[in-house]
Amino acid sequence: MIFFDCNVSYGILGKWLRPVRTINDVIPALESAGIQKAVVSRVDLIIGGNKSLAEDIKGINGLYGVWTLIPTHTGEIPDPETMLKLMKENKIIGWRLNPNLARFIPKVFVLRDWLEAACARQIPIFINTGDGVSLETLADLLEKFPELTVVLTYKNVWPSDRLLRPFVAEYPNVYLDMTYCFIEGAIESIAGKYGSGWLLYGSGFPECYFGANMLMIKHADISEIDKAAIAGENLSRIIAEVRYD
Amino acid sequence: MINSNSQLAQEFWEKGRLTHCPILDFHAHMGEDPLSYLPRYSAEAMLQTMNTCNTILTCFCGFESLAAPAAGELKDLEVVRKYPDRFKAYHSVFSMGLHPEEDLERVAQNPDAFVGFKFLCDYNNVTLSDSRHDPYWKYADENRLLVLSHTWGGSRFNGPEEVEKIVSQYPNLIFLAGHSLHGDWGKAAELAGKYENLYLELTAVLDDRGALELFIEKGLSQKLLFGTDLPWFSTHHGIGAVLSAEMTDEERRNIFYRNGARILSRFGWFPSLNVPN
Repeated sequence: MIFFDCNVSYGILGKWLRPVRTINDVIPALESAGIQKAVVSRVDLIIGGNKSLAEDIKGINGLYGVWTLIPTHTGEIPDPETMLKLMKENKIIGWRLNPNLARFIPKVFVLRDWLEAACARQIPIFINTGDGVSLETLADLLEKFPELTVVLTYKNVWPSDRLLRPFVAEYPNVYLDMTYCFIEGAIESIAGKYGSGWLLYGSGFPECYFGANMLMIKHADISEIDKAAIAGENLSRIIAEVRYD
Repeated sequence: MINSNSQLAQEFWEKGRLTHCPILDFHAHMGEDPLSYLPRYSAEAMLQTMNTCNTILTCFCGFESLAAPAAGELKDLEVVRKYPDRFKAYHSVFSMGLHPEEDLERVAQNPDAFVGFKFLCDYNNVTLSDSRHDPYWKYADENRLLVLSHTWGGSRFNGPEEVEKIVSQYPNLIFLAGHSLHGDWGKAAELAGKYENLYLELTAVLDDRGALELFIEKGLSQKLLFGTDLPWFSTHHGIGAVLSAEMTDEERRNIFYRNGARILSRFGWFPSLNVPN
């Protein structure tokens, strides 16, 4: 079983009990935990952070990046088509929204060109509700762009099935990052009802431990095929479907 | 693998449960929770989880007992009577509707079922030290019981100041700070180091990487107790977090069962654990 972590961060702006400032702090932690692949994002400056992330993961097997978006209206970052070329060259597999940090409104009229490109090119958008995109806001985005591929991190440890399952049921490309979904029996319950194809292993490192959700998945009462899907194959499939050209 | 520096982690990884490293769970509930969908809320479902992880004993307070002790406690007692070696109960202290005579009588009549009391002051807007709670504290102190309380940093109802008032006044009870004064980790460590009768319980601590390491660095591995909030949080998730944190396997054993066995040894019904290393 190969673990492919969908939620790893590092950077100088991270407010963690045990800060992880550089990619050099991430790599040994991944190795010690037995994580083969990870999607990493940098909690940092946005324009400079995107550039630094690409430099950090260059040449490092198993690491893939997510770039942070801001509205194109200010011309600070490349337009979607230009960005796609840069993404392909730099192992960048998705986009994330952080309106809390970047100070914009996560509405359709603000992000329309990004959302259109994401749908057309099957680029996953990484949504963390802790970054300022509420579930209500996400619902509005999906209502207009129902084919959008979303990796949803609901940043709340309270049981969330009543909140999250309708997204999976309604929208074909919404995936749940399990970082904060560790209710006893939840894996078995949701995989039993909707299949294992919607769940992604995520650690939330460095805020959380790699091994907590790993052990939960490894010993869940589901088939080995389902475990492998959740551990990493689902995320690999999402990334393989990105159309850069 | 989880943690290449830990033999215990590698064994748990392969087997999921270890006979030579049992689990004692000091923070659990049971039954339907109107606030949440919980797939495994029955006693039998929780027992299945316990068997999967080799949790040998779980101390719980049913959700119904937290809001309506008169009805809920009977259900909790029924579970303990059915599975006396696997479950023990905390009697709820429902601060918004206290009936101390009735509650203490129920505890007195069932000394092999109740390990002590459960306080949830943040949810009832009553402080731990409120004089209406005095009969419970006195009874727990006189009978050397365990008291599990929801505790949270910054709370005026069950924050550090309130906890200190209780542990300093009632030295014979064991105070289990549920959630370890969540967020106020430094103060939690300070108080646990200062008061012999104060233990830090780890439910909802284990998803904050770093808090556990802070406690260990302060030399508190013998003052920490494992807990899951079952049927909320996955037991394997909690075990995986402890296995991932920076500490020795001996310190992990303290958390998983040694500290718990030590404080449960005050009850005549608790058997001595014969655990080979």
